Amino acid sequence: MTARRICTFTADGVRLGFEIEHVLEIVRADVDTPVPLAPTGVVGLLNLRGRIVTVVDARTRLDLRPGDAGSTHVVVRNADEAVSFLVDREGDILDVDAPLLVELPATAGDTLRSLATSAYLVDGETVVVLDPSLTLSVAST
Amino acid sequence: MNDQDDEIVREFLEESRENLDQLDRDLVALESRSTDPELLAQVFRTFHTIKGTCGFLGYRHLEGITHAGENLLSALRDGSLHLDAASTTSLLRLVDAVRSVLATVEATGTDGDDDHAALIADLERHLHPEATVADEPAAAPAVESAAKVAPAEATVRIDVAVLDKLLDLVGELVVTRAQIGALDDEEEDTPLSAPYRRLRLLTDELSDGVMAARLQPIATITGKLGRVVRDLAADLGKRVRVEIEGTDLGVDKTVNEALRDPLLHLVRNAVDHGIELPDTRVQAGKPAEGLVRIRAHRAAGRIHLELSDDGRGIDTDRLVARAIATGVLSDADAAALSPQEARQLVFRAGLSTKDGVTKVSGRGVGMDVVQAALHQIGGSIAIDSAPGQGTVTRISVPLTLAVVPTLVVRCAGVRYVLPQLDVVEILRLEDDGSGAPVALRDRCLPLVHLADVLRLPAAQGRSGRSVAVVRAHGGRIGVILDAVEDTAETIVKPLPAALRPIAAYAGVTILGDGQPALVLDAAGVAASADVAVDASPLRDSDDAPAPPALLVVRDAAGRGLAIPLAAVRRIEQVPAGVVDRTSGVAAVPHLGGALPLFDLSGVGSGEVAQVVVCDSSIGPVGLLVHRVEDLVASVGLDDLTTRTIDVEDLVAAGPGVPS
Repeated sequence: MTARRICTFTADGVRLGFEIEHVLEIVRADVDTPVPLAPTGVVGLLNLRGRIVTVVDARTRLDLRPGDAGSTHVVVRNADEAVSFLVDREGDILDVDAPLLVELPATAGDTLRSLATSAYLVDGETVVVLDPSLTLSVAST
Repeated sequence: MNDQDDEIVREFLEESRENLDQLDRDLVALESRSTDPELLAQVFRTFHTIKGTCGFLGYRHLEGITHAGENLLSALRDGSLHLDAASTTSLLRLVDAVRSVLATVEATGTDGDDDHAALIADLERHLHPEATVADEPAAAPAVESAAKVAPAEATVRIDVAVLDKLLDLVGELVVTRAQIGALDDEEEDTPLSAPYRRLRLLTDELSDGVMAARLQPIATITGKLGRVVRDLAADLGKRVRVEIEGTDLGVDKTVNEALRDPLLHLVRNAVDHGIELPDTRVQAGKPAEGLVRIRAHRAAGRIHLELSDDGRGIDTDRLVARAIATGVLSDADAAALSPQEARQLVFRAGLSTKDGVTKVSGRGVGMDVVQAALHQIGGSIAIDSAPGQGTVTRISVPLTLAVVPTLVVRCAGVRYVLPQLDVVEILRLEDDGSGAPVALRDRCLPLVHLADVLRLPAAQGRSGRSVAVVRAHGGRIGVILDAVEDTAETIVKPLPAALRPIAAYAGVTILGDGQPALVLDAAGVAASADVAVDASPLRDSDDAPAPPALLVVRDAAGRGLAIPLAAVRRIEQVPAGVVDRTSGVAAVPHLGGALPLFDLSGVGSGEVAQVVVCDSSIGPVGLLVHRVEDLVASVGLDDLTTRTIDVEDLVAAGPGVPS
């Protein structure tokens, strides 16, 4: 297995990441517009330079503990459109390699497990890499 | 094959398709103007371009048939052969053959196994009487055509997605401009003022430019109709001439596409049902050849299309009889119909005057479908007909679907956008909306609160006092809102994937201040509301005369008043202190005399105000207002929170009008 670059961030203290080729950009902004009737996880719409993107809240989506709404948007390409993943804080870009692969921590919930592709142990901390299309394709309720 | 080759082939396919469409149009036109050297040269050049590229890409079969076509055309061009119906048909068959080979190229990457020997023989057959002109002339025109083709390099192909992206960015620029504008002090010049004014001009021009780049000549649709008429007439044994005017008119791509099917249907109707067989026409004293004319022009921000034929016209007696037979009309109703009303019956589902079903126009699916398709894009259709003399169908559609007139409404503190097309009128509720139906002009109007439809928590309040009466499911329903804030020209974008299943939304948009907003879908809102719509037929259909345009003004307290525009002569700025309130009558100097004034402004005499000068039965009168705000022309705004003023009522009631 070759090295991968992971764009990391945190939500509810959990270190998470997407492979960098899926990430378009990271912006700080408040969510502009709430969307009533939206599927669970969708918290609103954001105007990204004239492009309207759906904002998916990481804590809700991953079944983590609710907290103060973050304002860091990890904007990811998902099936021809840009979707924002709203997280607590952005992290570093990490180069990871097969020797660092670990099992998902035992504390990880079912939802997190079902959306993760792999996990790496970096500097004593586990980074869970998420599948962008599973994570951001929120089914309508 | 590598990527670069792929790219070349794709460009060739796209360009050739456009060229073939052009050939369809030109060949049909050529039939009636067969000696027009310009047109002939153009047809020749088009074939030559296709042939040249085929040779370059190694499509031998395709090159073979285009070569045969080119030979025939070159004989036509130098006058040694005259274009007639037979050779036109051969050339059109050639166009079809090239089109099908292109499809093969696209699917398989090769130009197939068919060498089209029969077609080539057919093309050469026209040449045989003058066998001498077979191959020779091809060389000389090649040089000339190369020189003439050169200007085409001035155009560049652009992906529509790129234009859409540009449009998004222009929208953002407009928002940013407004933010800078808010920093600029209006009263005095700052270092920012001059560059800001320039920015304003540039953004406007840029915005117009990008919108214009999205336009496509209407000929991409109307041009195809000539070919349709010709083929159809030939099938039916009729003789029909087509005249198409206004082909270079620019129309938004989306509108163009939405027009395609309705126009096709109308043209087929005209040839199939309208134009008579040659013998019948001659007996009726008309020329054997029928005429179908399509005219397009642009006026008042809309595209107007007129499609006329000189055929037999609409048989209203038969329509009425059919309507009675199918139970659409009672005998009594039928007797009361005016001829114009009777003609409108063609828009009722299932009524067709043609007794036999033809393969061309098919069954009952007819004008009602056309009308519905046009209404969907904010268009209208009207039909006029004189028995024995023909039918005229007039269509009007907006220039673009990208920009939609909307109302910005508020519900639970969030703004939503409602397309004006869906709104019949706006009402103001006297008590708080309890959800009970209200009586509107003697009819019961079901009401639903938008906050309930959107399942917003009750804690967010139900302060709704405004009701948007919207069209839905063939009836209407009142949607209670907190407020109607504004009107806006909105660019509606498709919903993000996650929101697409939600029926209440039709799209998303960005408001003037840069905030995204959801565009409500009236039918979806009504469907989620789970109340029966008032299904009695709408009297205010699109064919009714447009409501009078109104001038909206405000008094000092911000209350709105609407003055019918028909009565308004002009608007004047009145400096402070000019209003003369002596003798209890407010008046301003006017053409040497005094203009009777009705004070609707609520401002003190020392303040600046505006005077709307109106015509009345006692001559010009002035309505003193705090400020003139807007012109509203569109649906239903006349019933808004704004009170409409009748100038005559004022004059009749007004105190102390000087004689």
